[in-house]
Amino acid sequence: MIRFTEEHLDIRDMVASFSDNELRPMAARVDHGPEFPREGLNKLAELGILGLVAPEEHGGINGDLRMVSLVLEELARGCASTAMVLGTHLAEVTLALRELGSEAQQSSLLPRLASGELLGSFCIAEVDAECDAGAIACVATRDGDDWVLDGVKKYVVAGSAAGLYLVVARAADVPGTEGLRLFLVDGGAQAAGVRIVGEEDMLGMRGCGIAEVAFEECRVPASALLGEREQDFDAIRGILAAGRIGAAAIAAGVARSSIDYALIYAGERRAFGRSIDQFEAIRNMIADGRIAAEAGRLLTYNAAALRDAGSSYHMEASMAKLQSCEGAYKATKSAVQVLGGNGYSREYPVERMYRDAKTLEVLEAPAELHRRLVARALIGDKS
Amino acid sequence: MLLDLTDSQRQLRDTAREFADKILIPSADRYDRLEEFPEENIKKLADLGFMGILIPEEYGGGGHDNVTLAVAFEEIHRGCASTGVTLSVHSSLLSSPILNFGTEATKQKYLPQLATGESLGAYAITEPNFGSDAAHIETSCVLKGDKYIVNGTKAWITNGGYADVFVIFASLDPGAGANSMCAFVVEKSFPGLKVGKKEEKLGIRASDTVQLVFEDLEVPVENRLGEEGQGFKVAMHTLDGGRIGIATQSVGIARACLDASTKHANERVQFGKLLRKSQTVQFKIADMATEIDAARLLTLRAARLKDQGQPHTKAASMAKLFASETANRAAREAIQIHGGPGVCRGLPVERFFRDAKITEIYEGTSEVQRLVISRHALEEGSAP
Repeated sequence: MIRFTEEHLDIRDMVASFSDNELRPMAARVDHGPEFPREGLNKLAELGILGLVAPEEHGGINGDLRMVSLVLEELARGCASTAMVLGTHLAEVTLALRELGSEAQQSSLLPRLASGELLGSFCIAEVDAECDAGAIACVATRDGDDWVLDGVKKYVVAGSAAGLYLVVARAADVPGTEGLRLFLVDGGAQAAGVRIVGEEDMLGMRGCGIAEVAFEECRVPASALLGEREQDFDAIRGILAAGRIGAAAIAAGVARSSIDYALIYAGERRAFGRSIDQFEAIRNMIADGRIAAEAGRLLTYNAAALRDAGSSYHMEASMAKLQSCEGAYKATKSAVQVLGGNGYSREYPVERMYRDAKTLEVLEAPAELHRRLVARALIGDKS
Repeated sequence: MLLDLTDSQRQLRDTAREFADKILIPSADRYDRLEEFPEENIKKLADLGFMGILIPEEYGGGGHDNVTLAVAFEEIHRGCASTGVTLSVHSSLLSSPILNFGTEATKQKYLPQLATGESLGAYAITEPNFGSDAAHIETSCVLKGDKYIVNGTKAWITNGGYADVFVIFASLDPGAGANSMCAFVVEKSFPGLKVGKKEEKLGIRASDTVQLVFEDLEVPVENRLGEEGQGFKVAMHTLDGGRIGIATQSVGIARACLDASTKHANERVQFGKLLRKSQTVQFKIADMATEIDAARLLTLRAARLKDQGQPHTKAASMAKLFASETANRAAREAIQIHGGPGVCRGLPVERFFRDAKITEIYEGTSEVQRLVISRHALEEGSAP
């Protein structure tokens, strides 16, 4: 069993009530607009949640990935889009800076990330490199002391809102993953040489501002390079895996939330002379949905705990992402089914949760990639 | 395909196929986004004679059978499920109760205008509090002189805001159950019929779905279908045809998913090879193709049994259950095969996914179909 500290549980409880009271009421609006959940993020910043993983000396509380998972799961119960933006900010950008950043980079950026002055966003996917980092075409060219970034990134969460981009680009003309390096673009969407090509009109997770971002002769100083050359692809894999654990936590929250709603509805809705929660078929759907949610969150906690302990965790991160998102799909589908026609209506929240869950099955790499990664971890690759 | 189609069946299917490719597919995304009723499509379908497909020739229709409807409408649903359901409700749910339970005068009055598409039909049984449990509807009807006075609210009424002719259900003794139900044909112009709020839905967004409010709605006695108290019988008689209609819709949506997936797999390179070379993708495609054929065979079997006048309740439920679940699996996998673009609104698979879900809900949820099928199977065992 995964162990949580008092601090973990205190923060979880605080965030859970914030999610119920503040996020849930605005989730439909965020989805429908779609509207970037700036208001919710500002309130989370006031609560110190944007500094969850920043070290104390930089204004944060130095939380670990278990804490991030608990927080994202609870927030996602209220509004999955808000949780996704926060997940990118915390599990990908802030954590990468905490683990890989130089003293100067940390003291310049972490306090601003922790306070919420800067929202962090991770730019890796491209149109022809959706989950195949080896095919990344975005280049970083050395020019004197500077680097110049050129290329187009897809599926950038909070693309327009971010004040800091963490960008994966090919720094040498080396194919595959070897030439890839990490760059910090301070200013994010406002930086010179950055252009928002457009925001995606998404099936679900509509509020997280997923954008296509073009880097056009985007000039950054030498100090924008994050991490040591030798460990770069491991570092990138580490960021991706942390992001996937975050997405798994969000999916678990969506799954729980949909089943919680279906449970209440089934107790109130009557058919054939009794409340529908008295029908075995409905009870089974609710039970299976809850089991799926539970399996997802436990695998998520497990992967997070392994990473926190410094153990090997990549395979477990993929297991968690796959299982939690498939579980959320199953749970939300059952919730729609329990509500019947009302489940198909945008007046009820499970319709949104169903779209969010399906979208989560694809974001942070689809199930097929995770299955492939788990198989590779178990079997290896033969060429 | 196991069933040999006649020349006439093949011809109508080919007409529908061409219409789907040329007219429906290019416009479906726009109608979905704007949530705009596809009035133009319906007019064109009327010109092609599809609105009266089942109505006998003596009443101005095409006089075709249910197999023809299934093979032709499958193509329409493949092109645009919103247009498809508009057509399906009009064709499957309106003509059958009028034809089977209407007086000769009622048939003469309503069937010709429905057959040409001059009038659009809607069917109103579901209420806010009664979906699956239709026998207990709360809408009331009271006979006063030569008119029934109807009061109540109907929910989830497809075509409700655009329809000219409605088949509605009410109870002489609300809550008393099946034996007190009555069915009526109602015109839009009858005093007391109001169109209520429009539903915002996950999918089939271009189809019109509204509440109907009856406030002292006046219905002439001669517009009752069948005898007093026979309403439930009218509803049950219509049900199986409606289920075959939704099974047909499901097969059409599933085919659209397969077509999009094969196209993508033949074009998209990932990890240095075409997606079609990936066994993961190959197996997904294989499952989709197999399930689609199975779903279509179940659907055509049910349609043929209906045409032959044989019992087809179980067959219709099996077709609807399997086909709707096939459509949803196909839509889910189509998105997986497409990856990121699959959840963006630029490609149609995102819409297919939203549209597919309704097929597991309306015309009886999957749970209701399983109840119907099990009732038969528990008696009959595995005997065909």
